[in-house]
Amino acid sequence: MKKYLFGKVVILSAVLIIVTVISFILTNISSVDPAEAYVIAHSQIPTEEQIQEVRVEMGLNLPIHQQYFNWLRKAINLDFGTSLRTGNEIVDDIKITLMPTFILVLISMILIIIATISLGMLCAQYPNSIFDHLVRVFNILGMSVPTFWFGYLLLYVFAVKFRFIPVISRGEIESAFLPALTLSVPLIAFNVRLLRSNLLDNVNEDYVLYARARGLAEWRIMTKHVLKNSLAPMITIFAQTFAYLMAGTAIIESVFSWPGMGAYIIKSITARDFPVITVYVLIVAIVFVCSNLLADLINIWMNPKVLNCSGGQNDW
Amino acid sequence: MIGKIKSFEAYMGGIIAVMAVLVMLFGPAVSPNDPMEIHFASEALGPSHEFPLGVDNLGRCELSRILHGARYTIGVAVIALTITIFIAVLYGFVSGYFGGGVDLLMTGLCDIAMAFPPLVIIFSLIGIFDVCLGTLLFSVVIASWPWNAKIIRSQVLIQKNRDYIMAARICGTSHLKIITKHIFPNVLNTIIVMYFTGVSGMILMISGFSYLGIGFDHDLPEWGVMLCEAKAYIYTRPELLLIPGACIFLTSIAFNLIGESLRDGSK
Repeated sequence: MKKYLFGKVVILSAVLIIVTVISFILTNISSVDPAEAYVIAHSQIPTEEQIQEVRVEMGLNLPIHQQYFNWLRKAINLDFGTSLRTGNEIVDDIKITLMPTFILVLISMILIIIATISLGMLCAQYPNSIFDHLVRVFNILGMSVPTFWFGYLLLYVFAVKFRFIPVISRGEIESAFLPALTLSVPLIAFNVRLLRSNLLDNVNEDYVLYARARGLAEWRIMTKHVLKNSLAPMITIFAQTFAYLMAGTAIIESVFSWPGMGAYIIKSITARDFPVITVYVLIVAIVFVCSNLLADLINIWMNPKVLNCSGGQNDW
Repeated sequence: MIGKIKSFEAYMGGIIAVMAVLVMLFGPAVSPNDPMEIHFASEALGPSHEFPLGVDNLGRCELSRILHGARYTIGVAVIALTITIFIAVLYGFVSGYFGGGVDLLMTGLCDIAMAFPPLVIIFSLIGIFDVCLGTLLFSVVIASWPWNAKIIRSQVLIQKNRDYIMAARICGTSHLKIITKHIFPNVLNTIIVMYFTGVSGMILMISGFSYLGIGFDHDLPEWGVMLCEAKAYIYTRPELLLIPGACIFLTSIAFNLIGESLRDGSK
């Protein structure tokens, strides 16, 4: 167990180091000189002297590896400098915007997990029934729907026609439901399909026959035995879904004017605010790595056999 | 009964997809008005003889814009997907067929690329380079090739270890001939399924970015851009939001239906 975890942590920290290097390089190969951008943002006509001054002030005259270590040292202390666009400390901006996004993602995750498991199980319990076909139609529609359009449809029905909620939200929990629903529909569609086929693969195993021979009720076999055995890959998928959502809320946040990180990052991208983009890439990569690690841990906890099979080790 | 439903789905998908392609090819030729021309005098916003779907917020013919838009939305998605799959196939074949150190290095590179969520790669690349269509295409390709390359690689690996490849090697067939004449036809099925299921994902992604104002000019009749332009009129002209979104939705359903039927058929 310890050895496995140690290996895992080594691999994941290697990924993180590569991520920091890449995100640092990304900010440095840009076609725009950050010093010039800074000066332009803060005074009308930049002079060459001003730009030079700012360059020294920002440490941009040092050799590249030194710049990287400076950046890394600051990053560990959560000092990412100031945003070129807003002029605030990036950490403060992120702190304000991270929470609304997190709430949105959390509600979406709850919806996704409940809907996936219940729909998937019902489909596998009654394969090729009317219900199964309806879910199949839902899956195709869910996979095909442009989320921004679906968001506007919901907004039109609930905010414009029936006035249940305001069109522009200020990040209250009760107005998080519609954006969360919009976010989760395509992911529910993808995940239900996966879970259904996982469950159906397991239904023909010998242990199900044995459970049936013991006279257990069908729903009990499904919940207690089949679901438990099909859940391992789903936990990895759910973890990836979480990371994907943390990075993928930008469009929905813009539709529902949700004051989260996605909307913030889109503004930063169009303003070419590189320090913010770097921090964003770093945060999402950390979320990605951590959620994958967490999924592995849950899988080991649920089924310690994973540790003994050699395939699992390189399977990150 | 199941077989009937499946083939019904394939037909439906096929019909809508053929319609979408026809609109893409001949839409601009049959469109009643110039999509960029602004008709100040058109007092009537709703459908009329001259403007079958009405005019948009700036007085431009909605139907003409939809007809012209298919080229941008579907066309760009197809181009992006073609480049992505071309790279993926090349990469997957080299990595899967030659194996050894090359494979280790190439899969490692894939794994590193896959450690980033695709959206992050796209956001950072768009942030670094210019916010234009070229960058959007480039970053979408960069973000999506590793996933496809891995699938192709595993398929090549399966074929490579089959006996008939061994037999071909014993006969002294060259590597190039084995790849092109023996392995490629067997992997082609996977590639075609990948293509059709990929198109709708690509359309959604491209139109999503253009909705955010990344990639296309804001006056082009691209469907995502049209939605973005119409969003301020949700109270007064909801149909301006409805129409382009429904076009994206329908096209994407069509390709998903085809992809799903192909996937089920190839099992």
